[in-house]
Amino acid sequence: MMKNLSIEWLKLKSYRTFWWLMGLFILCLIGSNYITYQLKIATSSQSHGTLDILMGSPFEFPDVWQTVSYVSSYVLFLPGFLMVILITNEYNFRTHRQNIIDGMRRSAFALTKILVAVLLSVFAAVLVFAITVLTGLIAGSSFSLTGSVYLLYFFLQALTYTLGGLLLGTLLKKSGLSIALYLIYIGFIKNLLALLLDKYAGGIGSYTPVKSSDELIPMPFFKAVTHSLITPPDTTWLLILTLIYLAGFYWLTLYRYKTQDL
Amino acid sequence: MSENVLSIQQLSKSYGSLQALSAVSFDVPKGSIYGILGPNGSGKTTLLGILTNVLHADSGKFSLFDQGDAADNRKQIGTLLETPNFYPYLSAYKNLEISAAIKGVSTMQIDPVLDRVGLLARKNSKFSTFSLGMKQRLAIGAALLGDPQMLILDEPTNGLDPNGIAEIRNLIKGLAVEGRTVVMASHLLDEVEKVCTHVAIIKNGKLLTSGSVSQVLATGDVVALGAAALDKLMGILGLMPGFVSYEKADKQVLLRADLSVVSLADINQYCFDHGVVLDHLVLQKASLEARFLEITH
Repeated sequence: MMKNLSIEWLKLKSYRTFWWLMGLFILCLIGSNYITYQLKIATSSQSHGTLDILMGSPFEFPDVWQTVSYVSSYVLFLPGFLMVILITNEYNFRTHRQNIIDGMRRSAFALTKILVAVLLSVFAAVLVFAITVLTGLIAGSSFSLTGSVYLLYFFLQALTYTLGGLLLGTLLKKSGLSIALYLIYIGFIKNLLALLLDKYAGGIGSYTPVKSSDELIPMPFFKAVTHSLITPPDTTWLLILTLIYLAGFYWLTLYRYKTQDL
Repeated sequence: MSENVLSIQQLSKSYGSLQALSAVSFDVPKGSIYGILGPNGSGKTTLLGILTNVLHADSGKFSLFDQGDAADNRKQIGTLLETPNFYPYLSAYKNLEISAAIKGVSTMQIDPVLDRVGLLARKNSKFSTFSLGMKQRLAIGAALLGDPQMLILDEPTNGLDPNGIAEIRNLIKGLAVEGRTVVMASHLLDEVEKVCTHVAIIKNGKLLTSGSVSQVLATGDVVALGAAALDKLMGILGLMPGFVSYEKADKQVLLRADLSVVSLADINQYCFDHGVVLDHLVLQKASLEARFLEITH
């Protein structure tokens, strides 16, 4: 597998779009957290601390784990988007068949792409860890691992976005269509589906693909208010379904690549 | 009996209602240049796609070398299937670096291979800046990486200029001299006739004939006969051993006969014995083109 990963690196290291998207991702992660942090400070000082009672201390340990994970999750469409591009590129260039012709196993090809998705997710989680620790310390609190389970949830969410993107690209093959459908699902269909299912199917909207991993990290602001207004979905079920969906993405990508005509 | 490096047994493949390949079987002897001929859309690329594992056969099987692992077998085959497939943003050298890594071949081989296909001077140029002919050359270069025992080439002279075509033809002949086996699909009969030792003709997914070029062409040979008494000549030919058919053409009779039964000398003797003195006796070798058109129509 290390050999196949080094082959993947040969493809990536000279691919400018890869570096641009990685740069943008890092910038957006830092930027979105920085802006939220500044907003919190601004609202706190404007309200002379009265809003703090409602908002809590989202940037201090232990809440900072949830806050940074939550804010960062909005940028996760970028690594997912990158995965869609990486797999549909192979179809566009027809290198997905050349790699096999040259002697790579079909399963190895698919597993290498899956591994890239996992590594991107690990990278995202490491960055979020660093931002969390830094923000928590800057906010004046002392380090604590309490609440760090949200980092694990963030990692699962990152896996959902990257493996989901990979599966979509594997199934559709065409880059334009895959990118469009990916963005539309993340930004629109996912929420519409959840809304409809919540309304007409007994509140199961939170348990749909991608949505269930999103819901693992609830909104950290105004906790006191939101808790009294809505019943949050069951975390255990969200976790189970997220894992089932992930296993499904993994298995379908592998199965599809092993059985399809290239 | 020569050793076969590839044995194809009853391969079939359909795309929906279209039968792309229908129970095709033939053997490829070691060291041969095996041409797979057929009109466009006859199933040539489908056949090669199955051999290289990019397509799954519906039924049938094939065996390569002495069996073994399929992926490892592919590493020993240099393949050019349909179009040259490379990463457009990478240079020629970096693209071959990827091919070499997959095949488990040293990167030391890249420069000599690029030199052999005339691209060494452009090794650092991006693939996307190459002309069609250069892309084709790079694909052939990639196929040569790792000193493969067998090459599968699908329309290898596509997009090449006359010089390029001649170079590739010589390259293929050179590979066979070195004892390598080449399986080559083409719709260019002239190209196949010039380099191939064996040929399989496919149409609508069905194998029409296969074997050595001389075998496939032999039944298409025609003997042109001329005599003062043409009518009498036509009268006696029907009873000649090995006779198949004849037709009258201008001042000649074109005879089809099984030349493994009856030689040209036998024909001359037979006519003389039956009172016809021939003033013209020529074996007209069938061209692959004529034979191909005859078989596929």
